[in-house]
Amino acid sequence: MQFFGGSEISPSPPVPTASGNNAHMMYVFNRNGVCLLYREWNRPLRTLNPQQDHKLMFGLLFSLKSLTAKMDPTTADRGNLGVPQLPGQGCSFHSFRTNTYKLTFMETPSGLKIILVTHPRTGDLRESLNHIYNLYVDYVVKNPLYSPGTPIR
Amino acid sequence: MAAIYSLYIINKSGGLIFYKDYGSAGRMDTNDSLRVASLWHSMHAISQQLSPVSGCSGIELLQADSFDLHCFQSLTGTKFFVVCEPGTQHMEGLLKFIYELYTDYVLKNPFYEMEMPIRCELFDINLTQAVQKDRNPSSSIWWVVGSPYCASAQDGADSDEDDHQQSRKHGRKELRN
Repeated sequence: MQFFGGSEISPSPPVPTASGNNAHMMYVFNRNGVCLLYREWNRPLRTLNPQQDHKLMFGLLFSLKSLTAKMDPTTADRGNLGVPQLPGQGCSFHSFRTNTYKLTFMETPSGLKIILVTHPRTGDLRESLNHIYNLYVDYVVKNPLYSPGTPIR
Repeated sequence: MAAIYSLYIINKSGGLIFYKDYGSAGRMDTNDSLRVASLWHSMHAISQQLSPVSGCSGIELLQADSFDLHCFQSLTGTKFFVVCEPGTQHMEGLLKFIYELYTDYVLKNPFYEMEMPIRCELFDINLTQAVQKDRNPSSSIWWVVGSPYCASAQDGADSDEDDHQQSRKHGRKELRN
């Protein structure tokens, strides 16, 4: 009786081919939790309406960040759980993986959060997020008609 | 060198039933470990809701700046998660092995009450062995899935423990036949 053989309990979906689109969706939040940009490419499952979905995503990231700040095993002074922290303060995280998707997260010093949701087998996407941030700086922040805190158009 | 920083086991309703620290800087106090465990339970549940594809079973690996968190959820909803150094390999195997230890020494203990904190001596002994094995690089992969019980000769320092090992092996054989 081989209970834990080669097969996984929760098999992940098949690996897409190189030509396929790996990205599911992308979010950009500002420091106040306003969703500046939302794009989706491949999202078969939708359980919530967009507003609730954005709120839940922001809440998940916020809480995961306070969790990692509290759990950080390399420092002794970690503060209290749930106390809001400035961007760059405390231990943050850069990605997590489930059996159906992988979420990569970046927070800039100004508190902008960029989130990419992709296939679980994709590699390290921090470079891509940096590239997206550069695009944001070049084409959004430098746009004189853009007023900060409003959705990007 | 501590490859593994700490281990948590939480029951299906998010209560911490086991917490062991293996040398992280500044041990977490009891209240904080309970809070962190239940926070992880909720984050795990929310991550399932946000999945773009159906059939999501929650976070398996969280990569933070200074540690990795590997989580394994059993079919009954008990979650095992281990905090380790970034890039540590074979943690899924270790978690599954800890799950086996849990079924063997906790669930089969007649004095154990379900969903309550784990206080089982045999579980502690075997868990310590498993984690120490993991820290010793020469034998670090002895519990990798598929070869859970490597027959490598143990230093027979403690004959009692050897007996445990033997009986476990026999029990396993009977189970397989």
